[in-house]
Amino acid sequence: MKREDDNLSYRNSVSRSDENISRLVKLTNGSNKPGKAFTESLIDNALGKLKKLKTARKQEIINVSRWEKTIGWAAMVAAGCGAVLAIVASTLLKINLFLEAVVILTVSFNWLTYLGEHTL
Amino acid sequence: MTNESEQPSRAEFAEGDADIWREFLGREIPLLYGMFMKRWPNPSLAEELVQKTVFDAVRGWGSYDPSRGSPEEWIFGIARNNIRLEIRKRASQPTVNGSISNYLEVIDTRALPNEVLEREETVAAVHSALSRLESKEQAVLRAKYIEGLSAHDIAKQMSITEKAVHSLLYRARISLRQELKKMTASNEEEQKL
Repeated sequence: MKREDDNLSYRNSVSRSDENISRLVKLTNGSNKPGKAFTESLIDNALGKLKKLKTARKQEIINVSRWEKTIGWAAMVAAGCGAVLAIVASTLLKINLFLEAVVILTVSFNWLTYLGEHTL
Repeated sequence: MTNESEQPSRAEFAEGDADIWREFLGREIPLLYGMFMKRWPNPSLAEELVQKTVFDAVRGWGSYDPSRGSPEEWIFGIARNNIRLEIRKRASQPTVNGSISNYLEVIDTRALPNEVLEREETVAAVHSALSRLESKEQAVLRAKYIEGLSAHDIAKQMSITEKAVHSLLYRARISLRQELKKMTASNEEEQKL
C-alpha cells in the first residue's frame, strides 16, 4: 500500500515538474502566436464538445415535443369528454323540463275535469 | 452589404454548423492568444485563458443571438470577462514575492506562480539557461513544449527512437533545472557584491 502511495506521489511530482518545465520553456517562444498543435487540438476538442451539446439539445427537443404531444392528446380527450357531458346534461335538463310541463298540464287538466264534473 | 453577406453565416454559426465553427475558431484563437499575451506575457496562461474562452463559447453557443452582434464581438466579450475574472483572482491572492530561485527547490511539488513567470528576469534567466544546454537538448525541449509535438513525431524529426526521445527529454529537463539554479545563484552573488 505504501509503495503504491509512493508511486502515486512520484507520478504527481513528475507531472508537476513537467508542467513547470513546460511553462518555463514556453517563455522562450518569441512568437506571439499559439503553437499549431495547441490550436488544432483545441479546435478538435471544442468541435467534439459542440457536437455532443447539439446532440443533447436535439434529444431535449424530442423529449419536450413528446411531452407536448401527450399533454395535447390528454387535453383533447378531456375536452371531448366535457363536450359529451354537456350535451347529455343539457338533454337531461330538457327532458326534465318537458316532464315538469307534462305533470303541470296533467294536474291542471285533471282539476279542470274535476271542477267541470262537479259544477255541472 | 457586408452585414447582408454576414447574416447567413451568423445564422449557421448560431445553429452550431461544424465547418463554420472550425473556420471561426481557426481565425479567432490566434487573435485571442495575442490579446491575452498583451495583457500578461505568459504563454501558458494565455493558452489556459484561450482554452477557457473557447470552451465558455462552446458551452454557451445556444445563447449567441445573431441580431445582437457578430460572433467575433461575442467571443471577445467572453474573453474580456475572463480577463476580469483573472484580475479579480489575482487581487484576492496574496502578492507573490521573490525570484525564480525561491521556487526551483519546490518545482516538483508546487506550480510556479504566474507572477514569477511574467517577470522579465525570469524570462531572461530561462533564455540564458536554455542557450547553455546541448543543441539536442534544446531542440527536444522546444519540440516538446513549444511546438507541442508527440514523442513519436520528435523521434521522426530527430531520426532517433522514441525511447531515446524520452531519455533525452529526461536529461534535458534535469540540465535546464541545473543551469537555472547556477544562473540564479550567480545572479544573487552579483547582487550581493
